[in-house]
Amino acid sequence: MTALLEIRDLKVSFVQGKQSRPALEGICLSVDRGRTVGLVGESGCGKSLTALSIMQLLPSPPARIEGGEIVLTTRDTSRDLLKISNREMRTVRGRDIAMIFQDPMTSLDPVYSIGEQIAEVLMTHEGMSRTDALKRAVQLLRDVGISSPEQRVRQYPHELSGGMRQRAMIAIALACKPSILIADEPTTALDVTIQAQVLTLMRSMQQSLGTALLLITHDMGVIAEMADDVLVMYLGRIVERGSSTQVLERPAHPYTQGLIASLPRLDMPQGERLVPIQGTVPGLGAIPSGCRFHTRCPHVMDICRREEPKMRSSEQGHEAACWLIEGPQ
Amino acid sequence: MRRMLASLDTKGAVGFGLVAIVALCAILAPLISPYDPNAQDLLNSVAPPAWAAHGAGGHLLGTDRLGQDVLSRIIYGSRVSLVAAFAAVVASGGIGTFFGLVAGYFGGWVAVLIMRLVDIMLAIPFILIALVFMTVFGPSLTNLVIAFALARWVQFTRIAYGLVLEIREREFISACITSGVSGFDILFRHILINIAGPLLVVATLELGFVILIEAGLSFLGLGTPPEIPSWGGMLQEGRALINVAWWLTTFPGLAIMLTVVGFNFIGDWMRDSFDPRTDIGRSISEQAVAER
Repeated sequence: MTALLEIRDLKVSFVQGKQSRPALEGICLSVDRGRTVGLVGESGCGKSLTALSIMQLLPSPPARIEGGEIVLTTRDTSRDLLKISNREMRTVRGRDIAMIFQDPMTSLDPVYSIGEQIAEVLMTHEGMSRTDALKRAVQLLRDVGISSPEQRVRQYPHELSGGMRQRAMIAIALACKPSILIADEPTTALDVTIQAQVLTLMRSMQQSLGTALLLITHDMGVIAEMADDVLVMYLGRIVERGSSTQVLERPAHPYTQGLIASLPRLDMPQGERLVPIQGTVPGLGAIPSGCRFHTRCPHVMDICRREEPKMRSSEQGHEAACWLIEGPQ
Repeated sequence: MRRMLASLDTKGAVGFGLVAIVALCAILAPLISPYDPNAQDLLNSVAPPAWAAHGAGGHLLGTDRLGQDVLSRIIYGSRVSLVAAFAAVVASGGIGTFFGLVAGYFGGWVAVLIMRLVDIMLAIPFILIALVFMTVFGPSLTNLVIAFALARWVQFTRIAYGLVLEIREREFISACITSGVSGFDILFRHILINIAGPLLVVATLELGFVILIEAGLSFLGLGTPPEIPSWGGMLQEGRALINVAWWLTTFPGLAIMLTVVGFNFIGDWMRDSFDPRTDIGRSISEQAVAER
């Protein structure tokens, strides 16, 4: 069976005048029906850029897609999203792929009521009448756990709290039952208790609708909670992939090891210090030669400075791009 | 909107009051004006106001050289001023906002083209454009409106362009795109509605400006034809007699001034209420929070 969404060797660059700076290089990832794939990495590593590429929302210029394929397989037809027309892409957005953003405070239009914003999507994709769409909006708000939806549907974004707005965003995103939901840092702007509620809601909605989820986050806790598979990104490349247990419990790449070591744990002895990753992320214009992580890697060797490592698997279904791993390519 | 009206300050109330009086005069002109504005009474020409020394009974604000009642002509003149003002602002606002939206949304060479044209238009004195246009096409109300729209759309374009650039980058626009909303709907249903507030403020200020320009052009003999009473036209007719009949220029001048002041006050009040940093704006947003 083909994957629902498959990205093959995606390359994106930022072009400024005659200069071209690679921002994403050779991104491969696949999302199967109903699965949750986590995409982790620190700010600026290209997580959001990957999501925007799928949605064809890259700010262009300066961003330019240099190569690769993004294949979406729905209703037994496969389409390369990079090749279809704008008009066709518009039917994909919202109906096949939906997206929710980081900040629920700014991702709703302040001049329309919540109900009108949900109805707009339904009217666009399902050809519903306004009255039907508004009725359906009430039902959707109830589904995402908003109390007294009959009143809420008429309220404006500024009248809702952050958590409620994110629930409304989820209602909008899931209104047309998309096959895949891209969530770009969906809980980063929320406080911790609301975070947990929103994550639980996303998981239960995902189960009841069979939606696949591409979850973009820098929060390892969220990954542990939600993801089936994990991809770790560093400076525009995927450096490690595997199931979430494999990656979280036996991280193979020094970068992933560093990320996990820098997190506080409940079972940590008192007084023990967290281990940060040394240095800072180099800018896009100064990507190091060889392995991109060698400037900050505690295990750096000569070969790391000269040659870029290929993905090697350390165990079944778990691979990382590091010279230290001695598995097959 | 109800919240906004509740926050009406003195300035706003005065503005609305003045404009309401002018609007009522324009609507009810045949009912409230004491005489036919074009009825000539040569026996009573250049009569001072009724209450002044040697005043002619029955003419509250006096009469002009042809014995026409000044008050009636001012009341009828409000029609020309208001019609010209609203038509001109709707036309220039419509054109200007459209170009601003297009330039801001599409960017690239379209924006460069439109915004350079705006720069050029801004460098030409407006009165010059209006004078040339009215001289070539002849004085009439329609031509005045066209001249105004041709020259003043840039005011709206400049402001709309800046606002679109800001709104376009907001996350809810990306959210709209990701849910498959078409470009047309995003531009007109989401972006336009979000920038409507500041544009309305510009529109009110422009209303006052058109009234001044209409008066100015009529004064130069390029406004409306003399059989249609207009405030600017009255100034022009009264100019020759300014030494002997002060009322011929004073009262139309006052009418112009008060109307323009009225529109400007409304504009100021609207600007304050759309801006959360001012007291009025803050009280509106606080009320909004309190109601939640």
